[in-house]
Amino acid sequence: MKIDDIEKIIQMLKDSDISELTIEQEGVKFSLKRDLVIHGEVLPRPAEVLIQSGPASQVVEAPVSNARFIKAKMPGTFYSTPSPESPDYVKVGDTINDDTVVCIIEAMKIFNEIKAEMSGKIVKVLVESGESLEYDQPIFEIE
Amino acid sequence: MKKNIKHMRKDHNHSEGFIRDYPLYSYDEISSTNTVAKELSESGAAKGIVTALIQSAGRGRRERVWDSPEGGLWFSLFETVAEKDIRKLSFFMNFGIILAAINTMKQYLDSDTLKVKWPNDIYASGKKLGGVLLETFDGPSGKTVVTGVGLNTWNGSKENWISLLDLGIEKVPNSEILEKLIENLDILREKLYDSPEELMSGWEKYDLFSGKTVKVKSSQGSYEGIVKGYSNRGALIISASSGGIRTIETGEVENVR
Repeated sequence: MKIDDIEKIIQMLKDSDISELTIEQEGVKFSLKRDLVIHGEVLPRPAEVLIQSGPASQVVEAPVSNARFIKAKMPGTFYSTPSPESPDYVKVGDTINDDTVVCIIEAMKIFNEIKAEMSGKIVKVLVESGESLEYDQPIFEIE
Repeated sequence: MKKNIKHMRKDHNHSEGFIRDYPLYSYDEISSTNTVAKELSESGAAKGIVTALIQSAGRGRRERVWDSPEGGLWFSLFETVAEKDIRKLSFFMNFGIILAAINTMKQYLDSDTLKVKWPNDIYASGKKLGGVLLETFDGPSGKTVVTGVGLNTWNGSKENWISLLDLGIEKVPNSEILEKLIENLDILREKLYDSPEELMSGWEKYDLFSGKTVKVKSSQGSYEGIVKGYSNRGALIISASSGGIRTIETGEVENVR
């Protein structure tokens, strides 16, 4: 959802008899009330739009990002390399596709090679090699 | 005389017979049976068993060297499944192959001397007799699980490991041990593939750490505590000295007392 869309929705609310409106899209939920205070709530999925609480006039400053995330399919230990001495599978700036191997997740001594399963460019590695991962934890930010 | 097949990839359509219904790919010397199993899978083989007399670069956890001289039993079993089945198969292989190896070793050794060290090492008389390295990856026709097994059979001993030879066992061909192990694995698969609780309880009978105080180093931190058991997903459960129960999915365990 873009800023323009939010502005349009606010205008629609002003012009209508609706006192409250809730919209949920792409991992972000926000609600508008007739008193024009907006309550933003980021769902457990990664936030793609940050909506700040406050008067409606300030809300249009919320940043918009096209970020997506490669997330942990299982809990375990994240390894960025195939072996301790090897270079990282991928690094910031690399272009990836569905079949690009991006890391290994070890769970109970099972070493699971993980593919990106999406295309784009790596803009951030969110976890240090050797750190533990929770299920669904974002590992890479992809643009 | 050894065949000159070092580091050579075999055509997956030309296996050398079968063990049960697994195509068998036998080599004299290769880098690692897991590596070749992965190559065979990537070239289209749905399943199989890779053996080597010698692994020139046998691997353990995180590329630790697994010493693999001639005389030991070094093999990898690989199979491809649908993505939805990968967790179930890798769990079964992780604990099932160890139990199959224990059941096989019981033919030669007193079962009281055999132990398992979480999650997938085999001990005999207090020293390492064997270990397993499991790897999963996306193959051309699904998810592939490669289960690498190293068993010290007739390859002597070192400071921290022991072989059947050192335990005074009369020599039998490694091929015979392998066939029996795969048969035992298939028996367990038939009985326990859908019963993780029973599989874990069979495995726990041989647990090296049961009731003992251990130190666990994991990516979540280091903990000391008494081993209380294992979850149905195979995680280690300890009663931590610092208080509370901890469930640990991945880590290195040391026996403290």
